[in-house]
Amino acid sequence: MNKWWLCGALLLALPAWSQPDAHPPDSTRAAFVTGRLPAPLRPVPAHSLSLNGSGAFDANTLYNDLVLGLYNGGRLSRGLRERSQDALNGRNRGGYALDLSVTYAWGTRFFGNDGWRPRITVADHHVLGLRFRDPVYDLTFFGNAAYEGRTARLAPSAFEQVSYQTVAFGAEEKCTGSYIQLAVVNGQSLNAARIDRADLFTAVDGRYLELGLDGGYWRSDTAGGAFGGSNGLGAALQLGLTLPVRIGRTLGELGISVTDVGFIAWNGNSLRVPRDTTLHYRGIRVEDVLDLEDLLIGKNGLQDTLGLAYERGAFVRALPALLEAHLALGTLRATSLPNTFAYTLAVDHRCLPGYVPFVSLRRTFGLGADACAHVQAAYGGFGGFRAGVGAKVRLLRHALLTVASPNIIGSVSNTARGKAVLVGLDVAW
Amino acid sequence: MGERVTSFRVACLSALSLVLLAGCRKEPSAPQWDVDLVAPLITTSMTIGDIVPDSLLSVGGDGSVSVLYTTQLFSLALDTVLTAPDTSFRYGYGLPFPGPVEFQPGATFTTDNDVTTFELDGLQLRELKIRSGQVDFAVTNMMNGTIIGDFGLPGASLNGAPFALQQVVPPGTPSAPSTLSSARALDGYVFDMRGPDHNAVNTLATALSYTTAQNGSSVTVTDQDSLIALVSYHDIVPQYATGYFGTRTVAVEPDTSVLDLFANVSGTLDLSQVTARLKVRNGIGVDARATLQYLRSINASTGTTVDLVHPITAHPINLDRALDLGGSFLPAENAFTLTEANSNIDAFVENLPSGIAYALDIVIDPLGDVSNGHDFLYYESRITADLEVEIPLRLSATDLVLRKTSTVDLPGTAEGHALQYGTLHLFATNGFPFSAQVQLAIVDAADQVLATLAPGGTIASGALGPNGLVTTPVASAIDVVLSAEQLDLLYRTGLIRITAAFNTAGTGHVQLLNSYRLDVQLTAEGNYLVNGDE
Repeated sequence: MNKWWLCGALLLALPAWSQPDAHPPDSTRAAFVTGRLPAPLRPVPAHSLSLNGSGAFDANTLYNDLVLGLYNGGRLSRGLRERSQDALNGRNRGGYALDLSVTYAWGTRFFGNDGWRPRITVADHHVLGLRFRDPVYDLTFFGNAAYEGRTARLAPSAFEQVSYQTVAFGAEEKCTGSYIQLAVVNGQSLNAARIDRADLFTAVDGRYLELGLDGGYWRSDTAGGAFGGSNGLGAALQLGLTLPVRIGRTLGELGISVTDVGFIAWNGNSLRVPRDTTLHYRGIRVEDVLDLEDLLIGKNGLQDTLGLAYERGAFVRALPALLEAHLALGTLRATSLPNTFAYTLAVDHRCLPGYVPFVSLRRTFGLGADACAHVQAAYGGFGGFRAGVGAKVRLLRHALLTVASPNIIGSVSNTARGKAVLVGLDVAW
Repeated sequence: MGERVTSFRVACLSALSLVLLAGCRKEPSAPQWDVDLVAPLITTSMTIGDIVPDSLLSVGGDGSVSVLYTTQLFSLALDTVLTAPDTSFRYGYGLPFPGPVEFQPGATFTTDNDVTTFELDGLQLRELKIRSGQVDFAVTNMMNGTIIGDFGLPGASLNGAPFALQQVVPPGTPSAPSTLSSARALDGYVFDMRGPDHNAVNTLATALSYTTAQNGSSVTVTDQDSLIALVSYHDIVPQYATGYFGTRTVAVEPDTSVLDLFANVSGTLDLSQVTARLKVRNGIGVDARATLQYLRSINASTGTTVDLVHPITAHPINLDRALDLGGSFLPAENAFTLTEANSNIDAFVENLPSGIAYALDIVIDPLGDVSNGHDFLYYESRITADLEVEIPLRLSATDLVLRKTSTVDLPGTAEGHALQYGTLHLFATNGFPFSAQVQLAIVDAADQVLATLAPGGTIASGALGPNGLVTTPVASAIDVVLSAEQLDLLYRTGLIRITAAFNTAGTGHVQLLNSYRLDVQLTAEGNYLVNGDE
């Protein structure tokens, strides 16, 4: 599904009109994330349409060959798994974010206010965040045999995988592009766990397993989890504030935005397993050891045996909100592209397990009147230090295309970590 | 401007190429990797009650256990004594002179009150109650008017009402007779088989009459015209019969009763004491004398047989008659006790029989009509023989083998399965006074061994005290390695055979107590392929 989403994003980028006054943003925020681009500062066209797509995954310890192996399928060799294992550092993080949005702003006033105009955004999001201790990786990719006679401490670990769609409506300030929108949220699927304590002891010869567990697991209804399905409804706030700034004689802008601060109420068929317990497992109790015919039980039976059976019922969980801020300074004189600044310092944070504030510093160069390029250095998100590049070009008269990769090395190397691509198309008329 | 258009086209084509390339990529399969897992699989405890069903166990005050096993050797049903064959009777009517004679409408021109005598193979029945059956009444009319035939059984009644059946037959001619038939179920009818004067046997009074139709024309009859009535009794199943059943011999053909007590068990078993009771129940109201030609213990696995030696196999057995309670009966039970003192019952049982063969003759009413015609039987009447065996579990076992083949329902398929190879660890804490050598084998549908899972091992016996009872359970561990090839084999056949050879501790007999138990845990170290199950 994720693969097709990326294809969709590229398809949306194809119909490019040209227009001279469109001002696609400098995308100063960490490009790992959604890639939704700020609205143009000025002038104000009658119609403004932004199509943005971004797809990225990253990790601070897992190499791309492992992640791609998991994605592409097939056999994962022991050597491949060991390479990422050797890189584990005790605080492992990873995740992905696939976002697609279409924003349309139009008109000259909003409820009688000449400074604002209506704005609507439709977006599709698929995100996963993960943080885990080394033994989680060891058990997952090598099994528990290596832990025979000792304890694997699996906590703290957590993951959250959410797919949801939003339809937001609000108003946009014409001069600055600042906006506020309220969104209705469709919850497509959820798969999440939080492990505050999980100590797994494997006795010699597997005589018993003992698990001290404090955590929970949440899952949306497995039926209807495909794209277009609905397993929950919610609401969210989307807010963006862009201010022109001057530091000494240097002009710039300050931007702050929050996206999808809200919740989804997952429906009554959702499942969860909240547990704070210690499990001592010596095997399935059978009546007749000579009768093997009913010996094997399914996953559900084992869950019941361990006291980890699902509880069915509705629950509410917060959305993985995105918080962003950037400060851009120094207008590029070599280019006619508006709002293109020489230096941009940005920080963002997404409320997902394993995501740490992503800080980036960007230097942008003008490439003639209708194009510019940038390089950037960044740290955070799901990964570590990353180098990025990007370019922005005016197409014909009404469109401005932005293409960037915030992780250029990872994007071209399977022995590095992470891949990211961002495509944006702004059309105004 | 032209350059801009060109760059736009290049961008579009590049993006389109990416999309198409991505779309052409084969749908990814699930990733697979192998992990080494170690985990407990199952735990179980085994007591005597798990080996022998509770229904067969009896526990003494000291905790000693005995097996009380009952098997039915044979059961002779009602048809051994009485069968009612399908029977037809033909009644003809014609003028004994040339005629013609004219019968007016509504005239009854002949009435025949007669008796029907059944041939019942030596039985002399006085009363017969029908459980199920049917009588057909067919009339063939060669006269030129409609005839009404009335058939009755004055001696047969249902809830006090006598049996009667009427058949209206349209006109016919000698060359084109008219025939109609009707049937009536006899279920529940009671036949008085003593005839109209109550002094006969197997005899049923009948009444047959013909009448011209009330609303028809007169019927002219010559000696060329006739009426033929055919009465057929068939599928008669008696519910109750009484009379004298006659002195005769019923041969019970040689047969074998299957015995499952020692199913899948082989080896040498030495029991210190065995008692058996042969219980013959006579549910038929006749005296009988049974001559047991042989009662044979057959071990189908070894081919060995042991014939029971006891007075009952040497001399005829007299069987008392059942008691008629009027609507039900009380069988007469004739019991014969077999001990080591009066028979070879220990050898008979220690042969671990899979079946008991027998052949016998039964003489009914060997002394004649001593009941004065009051022999009886019910539909439920049987002559049955049950063998009860009581085995105190004080025994000595030498390589007593218990073998069982099970179908293993493994996840995945033979072509793709997550389990790759591994080692099974069996941990046992044995509180029984015998050891058990355990062996696992992969077998085919014909129970032929395809692979033996090595190394296996022996579960040690519990430690015996001076009194011959287990004082301390003993722990043992057995490993069984399952290679990748063997696992593939197991996936193909799905059959695994567990063989346990038991040997009692010490040299003499050991007493099994109800409190003895064997605790077993099975764990596994295995290589598992994630997403490997197809």
